[in-house]
Amino acid sequence: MLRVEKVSTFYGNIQALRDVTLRARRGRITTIIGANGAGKTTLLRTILGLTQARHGHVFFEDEEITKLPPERIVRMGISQVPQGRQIFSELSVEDNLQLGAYVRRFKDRAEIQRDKEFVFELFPVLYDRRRQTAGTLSGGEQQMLAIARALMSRPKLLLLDEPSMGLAPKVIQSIFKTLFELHEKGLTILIVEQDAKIALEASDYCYVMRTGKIALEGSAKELLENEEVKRIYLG
Amino acid sequence: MKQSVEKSKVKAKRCENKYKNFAIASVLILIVPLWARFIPGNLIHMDIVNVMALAGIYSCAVIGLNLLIGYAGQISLGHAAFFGIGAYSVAILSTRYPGFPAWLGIIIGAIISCAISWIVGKPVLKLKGHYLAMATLGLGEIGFIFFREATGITKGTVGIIAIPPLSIFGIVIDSDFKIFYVVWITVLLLMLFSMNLIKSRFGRALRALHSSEIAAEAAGVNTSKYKTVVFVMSAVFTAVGGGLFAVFQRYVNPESFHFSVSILFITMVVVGGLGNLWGAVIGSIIITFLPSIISALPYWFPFMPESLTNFGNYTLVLYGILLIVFMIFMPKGIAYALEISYSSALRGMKRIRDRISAMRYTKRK
Ligand SMILES: Nc1ncnc2c1ncn2[C@@H]1O[C@H](COP(=O)(O)OP(=O)(O)O)[C@@H](O)[C@H]1O
Ligand SMILES: [Mg+2]
Repeated sequence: MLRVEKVSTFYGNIQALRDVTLRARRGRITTIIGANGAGKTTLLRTILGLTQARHGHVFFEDEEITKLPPERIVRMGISQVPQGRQIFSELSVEDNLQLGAYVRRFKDRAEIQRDKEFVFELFPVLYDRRRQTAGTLSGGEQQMLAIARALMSRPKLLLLDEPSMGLAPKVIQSIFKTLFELHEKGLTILIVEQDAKIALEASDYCYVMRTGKIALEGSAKELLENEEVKRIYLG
Repeated sequence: MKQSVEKSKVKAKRCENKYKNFAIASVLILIVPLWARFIPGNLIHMDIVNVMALAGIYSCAVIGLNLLIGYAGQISLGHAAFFGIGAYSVAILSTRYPGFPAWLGIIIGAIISCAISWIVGKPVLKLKGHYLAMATLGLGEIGFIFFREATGITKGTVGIIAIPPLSIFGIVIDSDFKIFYVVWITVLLLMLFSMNLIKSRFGRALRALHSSEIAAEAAGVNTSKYKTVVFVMSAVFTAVGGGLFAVFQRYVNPESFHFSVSILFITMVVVGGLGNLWGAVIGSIIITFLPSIISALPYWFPFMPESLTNFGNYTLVLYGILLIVFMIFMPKGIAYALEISYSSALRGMKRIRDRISAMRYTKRK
C-alpha cells in the first residue's frame, strides 16, 4: 500500500534520512522502532509531504506522492497522529474533530457528521467532553482525541508517531486495543515507537532504524528472537 | 435526524444572537454624535466625536492586526508602514492630481499594501517568534525611512498639507460629524467581514495553526498560505485606516507612521483582548481617548503638576506599562472582562426576575 524507496531527507545540510526503503502492506500493522534521533519522525513527515525528500520516491497505492502537498496526500487517504499528540488545546473537542476533516469538501457534511458519531462510539469519553476545550483533557484522552482527529479524514493508512509516549501502561493498552479494532475493520497502520516491546507485540512486520538508516527488518517474531534487538532494544 | 434538526435550531439561534449583539453595538456607536453634541465643551474639554472618529480609524488597523496576532498567532511590529502607505497614497494622489477622488486613493493604497504584504509576507512569515518580530520591525523601519527620506514624493519631514476632503456620492466629508459616520460604517463593515471569517472553515483553520502548527499541517492546512493571507488582510485593513486618517487629518507627516504607532496598535489589540473581535474596537477607543483624558485632567483637577499633563513625552512609556500590566493581569483584555460582567449581570437579572415571579406565584396561592 505504501512504498518508500531510497528516500533521503535533509534539514539544511544535516542528513536525517539515508536511503530509507520500506513498505507498509495493506491490512497489516507495520512498526518502526529506533532510538531518539534515529529519524523516525522525519520519515513520517516525509511520507506526508510535510518535509520534502531530496532523493528517492514515495508511492501510495502505486501512485507517486513524493512531491505532492500534504493536503493532497491527506485527501488520498494517509493521515498522521503527530508525536506528542499536538491537539488544538484552545479549541473544543468537536472543533478538533472538525479540523481533522479539514480536507473534506463541504458537501460531505452529513458524512462528516456520521464519522464524528463513529469516533465518538470508538471513544465515548470524547463524546462526554465534546464541548470542553481540548487542553482540559487528560493525557490519555488527548491521545484518543489525536487519533480520533486523524480518523476524521477517512484514512486508508494511519501513521502514528510514538502513541505510547508519556502514558500509563493501562492507557497504552486501551489505546492499542482500539487500534487493533480499527485494524480489524481494515485500516492499515504504520506505528513509530521507541518502546520496542510494545511495538513488536503489536505488529506484523517491523523495521529498526538507526541514524537515519534502516538497520534491520523482519517479522515481529524474527526480531523478537534477534540477539541484537534483544540486547539493545529490549534490554 | 432529530438530533440534526435540533442542532440546526441551536445554530440558527446562535447566529441570530451574533447579529443581535452586532446590531446593538452598532447602534450604541452610531448614536454617539447625537448625544455628544449636547455635552458642553467647557465641561469635558475634549471633542468626543473627533476622538471617536480617530478611534474608528485606528480600529480598522487594530481589527486587522488582531486577526494576525490574536487569531493566527503571528506578530507584526511594522504595521505602521501599511498605515503610512494608505495615508500617503491618498495624500500624494489627491494633492498632485487636483480632483483625484480620495476614495480611489484609499482603494489604491489598499492595493499597494496588498501587493507589498503579499511579496514580503511569504518569506517573512516563515520566521517564528523573535525572528518574525525583528523582521517586521525592520519592515516598519524601512517604511518610516522611506516616508521621511523620499522627499520628492512624500515631502519628507515637512509632510503633505492641504489634502482635499473625501467626497462620497457628491457629499463632501468636511466635518468631524460626517467623517465619524464614514469611518464607523467602514469599521462595522470590516467587523462584519471578520465575524464571518472567524466562524468559517478559514477561521477554524487559523485558530488551529495558532494552537499547533504541526498538527494543522498534518491535517492538510496549508499553513504558510493561511499566514500570508491573514498578513495581507491585516495590511489591507490597516491601509484603509491609513487612507481615512489622511482625509481626517487633512495632512500627513512621517511621525504618524513611526515605530511607536506599531506599538500603539499592538497595545490596542492587547488592551482590548487578543483574539476578541470587539476587543479590537474597545481597545482602540480606550487607548485613543487616553491622551485626551490626560490632557483634560488639568481642567478637571486644576492642582495637578504640569509635568504630568505633558502627555506627548510619555506615550511610549505609557503604552509599555499598559502592555505589561495587561499581559500579566488581564491577558484576555477588557472585552473579555466586559463579556463576563455582562453575562453575569444578565444572569443576575434573570435570577431577580425569577424570584419576583416566584413571590407573585406564592402570594396568589
Ligand atoms: N527541524 C529540524 N531541523 C534540523 N534538524 C532536525 C529537525 N528535526 C529533526 N532534526 C534532526 O534530525 C534527526 C532525526 O530526528 P527525528 O526524525 O526527530 O528523530 P526521531 O523521531 O527518531 O527521534 C535528529 O538528529 C534531529 O536532530
Ligand atoms: Mg520522533
